[in-house]
This record gives sequence, structure tokens and C-alpha cells, in this order.
Amino acid sequence: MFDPKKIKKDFPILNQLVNGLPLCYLDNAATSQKPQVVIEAISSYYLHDNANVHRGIHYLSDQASQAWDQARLTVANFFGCLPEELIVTRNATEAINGVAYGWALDHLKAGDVILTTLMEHHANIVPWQEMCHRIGAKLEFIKVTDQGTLDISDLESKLKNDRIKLVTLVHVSNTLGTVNPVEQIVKLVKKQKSQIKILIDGAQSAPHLKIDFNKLDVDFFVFSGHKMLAPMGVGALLVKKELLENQEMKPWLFGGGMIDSVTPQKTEFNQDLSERFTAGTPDVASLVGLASACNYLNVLGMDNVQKHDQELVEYALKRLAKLSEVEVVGPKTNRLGSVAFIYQGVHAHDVAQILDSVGVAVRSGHHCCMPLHLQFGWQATVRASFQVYSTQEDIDQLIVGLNKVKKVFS
Amino acid sequence: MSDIYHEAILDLYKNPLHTGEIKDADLVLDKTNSSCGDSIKIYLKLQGEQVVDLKWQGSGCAISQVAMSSLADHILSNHLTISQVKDMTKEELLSLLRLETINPGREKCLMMGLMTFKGIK
Repeated sequence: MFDPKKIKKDFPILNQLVNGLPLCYLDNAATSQKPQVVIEAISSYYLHDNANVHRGIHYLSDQASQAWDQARLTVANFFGCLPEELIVTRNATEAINGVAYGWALDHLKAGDVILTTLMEHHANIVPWQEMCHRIGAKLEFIKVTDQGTLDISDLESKLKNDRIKLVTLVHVSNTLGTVNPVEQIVKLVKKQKSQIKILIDGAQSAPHLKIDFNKLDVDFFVFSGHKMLAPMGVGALLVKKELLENQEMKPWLFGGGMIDSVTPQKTEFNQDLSERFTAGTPDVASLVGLASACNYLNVLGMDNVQKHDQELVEYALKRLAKLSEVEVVGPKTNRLGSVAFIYQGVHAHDVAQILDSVGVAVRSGHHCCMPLHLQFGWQATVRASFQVYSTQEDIDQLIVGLNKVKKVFS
Repeated sequence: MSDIYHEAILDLYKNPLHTGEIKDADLVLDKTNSSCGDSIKIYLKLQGEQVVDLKWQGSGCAISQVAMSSLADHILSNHLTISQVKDMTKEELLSLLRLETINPGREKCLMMGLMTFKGIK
């Protein structure tokens, strides 16, 4: 049975007092905490197996290489992709930059269009602004409705532009909590023109949803490990095999490890698809940690993880609705991961600071979604976000903190 | 947090000092804190280097707004010059607010008004 209170015991960091009260960590959309098994997997790698991977003819190098290959396999299985489709990066941001530098720079021309949405994290806007600046391409935005969902009719009408080469969008919004209808969008895009590439930013979906890259049928999918119980500094870019085989997607970092042979003037790149994208010494320990987090989530079962998260979101919405000063942002239904709100008359930073005084950790600000905040005229919002170890009691404590905000600022 | 929101601060947040606009200002300073969307605009009347009048407008959290009120009041009542304002430290600002410390996450809020002056070339 899925019991978040029992799960919480797997996360040593959560067992502490903050300002004299039990820590109530509701900043999971920014980063999640790590279970003991993940910490031990990383520690064990450094205690027993550490050496540089591949090309080492000694025992420890074999151990490290095996750990790396096994971890790649585990992560690929977890995301429903082939091991050769998995390019290990530092995080989702680096993965998106990888698509920008490894694909877009070669395949977009002046006047081409990149279509994204107004609910993107800056990670999925800034790299494309930079590409457009360099190439002379245009960045266009699908509108967000007043309810906080993607305006599908606006997407349909914008898709008629035959210069669109890439549609790139967030799976789950980190501010609105909106779950975008990726399947429907993929169908619409492919129906319009099958050559248009699709990138899905899964930073906020991977922690809560079962992801099947093969079934999603998108060209690129990115995520960050640290938001899904794995260490910081590891994430991935999943790329359709076909784009790697026909070399439409090329390496964007160059150096050792990715080569077959190097002469003073020329390099033959490694034919192994994944090796070709691993320039320099990889962060083996962090990937081992990510694999361990995938195993941990598999034991919990991603269906249970999703259900638990949805229950918490519903509970939070219900409790917050009773506070007249609180205005929740985003759609009423079909949302995941987080609940952001405005506390009327009190700035988000002040709300967060008072919540901290009762042990509640939330995020306040624009959550790296300035265009979205601009559209709705929000200066800043307060966001509570959940993970497998979050409980209804955590949300109750959030409400206690919000009542204190009322007292302080009344 | 215990005393960050002490009564004087909350009073000053609700009743800020020296807010408004100077139409014929000699210098107008603008700053936004991109990490939280706070903004501040400061209008100055100068005699040489000395600030003879100051009004400001802004929106943001209690700490940023109260710090700006206190800073404005300190500048005007002590007839400070621009370079004297630029030389002020975080500690001096904290003492104006009767705070001993502020956590690192709020430093930008506290320093917003002062940093606007420090940005004058």
C-alpha cells in the first residue's frame, strides 16, 4: 500500500525541525529530496567502484563502466526509450540547449518558426531566443487561456504557418500545474506536417507521471533527475533513434570519449550512438543515483505516485478555497504537481517568510515563468508543490502558516 | 523571522514615507529585481551632489518597500550626498530597520533601494 508517512522515513533530511517545528517541505517542483537508497548508491559507487569509465584495463574501471552501462539501461527502461536514445546531460536546461545547438543550429534557416507556449519555463524560451537571434528564425507563442490551459484553437491556427520547424512545449506547467494534452498536440502537429519536430519539457511531468518515450512519439524529451528523487547535476535528453542514425541530431559538445580515431586534423566519431554524445568524463555517480531513484519509483509504482499527487493537489485546492484571501492560479481540474496562489495584499516573499517560521518551505516569485506572470499581471505567486513523501498533514501545516500570515498582516 | 515583521516594519509597510513623483526631477532612477518582479523608481532633486528632495514609487514585498522608506527618510533627514548614500552598507540599512540580520534569500529585497543608488555612474 502507498503510505506517504512510511515513505517519508526513507528521506533522512525530512526528519528535522525548522524554527522549532517539523520541516514541511513543499518546494518539490524546485527540487525533490533524496531517499536513503539513492544517497547510499552514490556513496557506494565512490566507496567501492570509482574509476574513469571505459578504456581502463583494470578492475575498477570495469566496475565503473558496468555501473555506468547498467545505470543507462535502468534509466532508459524507466522512460520507455532505447538505451541509445538516452543522452545524459546535467539537467533539462542543458538537454534543451543540446537540441538547440545539436539540431536547430544546422536545420533552421532565417524566416523559419519555432512555436512554443506562454506557459514555458525560461529554460524552454531563452535557448530559442538565442537560436532565433543567431539564425534569424522567429519565436512564436501559443496563447494560454484565462483558465490556464493551452489555447488549442490558437495552436491549430498557428500551425498553418508552413515555416514551423519545431514545436516545443512543457508537459506539466510548473506554475499553473496544467497537464498539457501532449497526445492530442502531437497528432495535430503531425497531421499538419510530419516533418515538424516536437520537443517536450518533462521537468515537471517525469516526477509524477509514467513516461513512455516510444508511445509519446515525440522527437525530443527532456527531464532533470533532481526533481525526481535523484541527485542534482544529472538529467537527460531523449532523442528518437532515427534522428541519431541519420545524423540529423549531432553532438554539440566535443572532446574525448566520443571518438573512434583522432588525427591532428580530423576525427572519426564513435559509431555507438550514445557514446557519440558523451564528450569528456561523465558523472557516473550521479547517473547511478538517478538509476537508483528510478528503481525506487518503480517499487512505489508510477501509477500510485500519480494518484497520490493528484489527491494532494485536490486536497490543497479544497483547503485553499476556504481562505478568502487566497486566489489559486491555474485550471480547476487536470493538474499535477503543484498549487500556486496569490495571497491578496501580501507579497509572495512575505508569505513565504512567514510560512518558513512555521517550518513550511514553499517557493515564491515568478518560478522562472516571467512571460506567464506578465500575461496574467501577477507580480509574484506562492507555490506549494508535492512529492511521494508529501502528506495531507503537510498541507494542513501550510494552512496554519497562511492563517499566521493573516494575523501578521491584518 | 522572529522579529522581521515587527510592528514598526508593518506600520511603515502600510504607511510608506516619501512616496510620490517629482515632475521636474534632476535624476530619475529605475530598478527592477528580476528574481521577484519588484520594482522601484526614485526621483531626485539635487543641489550639486546633495539630495534636497526625494520621492519614490514602487511595488514589492514588505522588506523592499520598508527598506526604501527608511532609506529615503535617512537621506533626507541627514542631507546626504549621492556619494554618501553610495557608501552605505547593508549593516547600516539593517540598523535603520532595527533588524540585526536578514536571511540571505531576503538580502536582495533589503538592498533594492540602496543598490539603485549604487548603480549611479
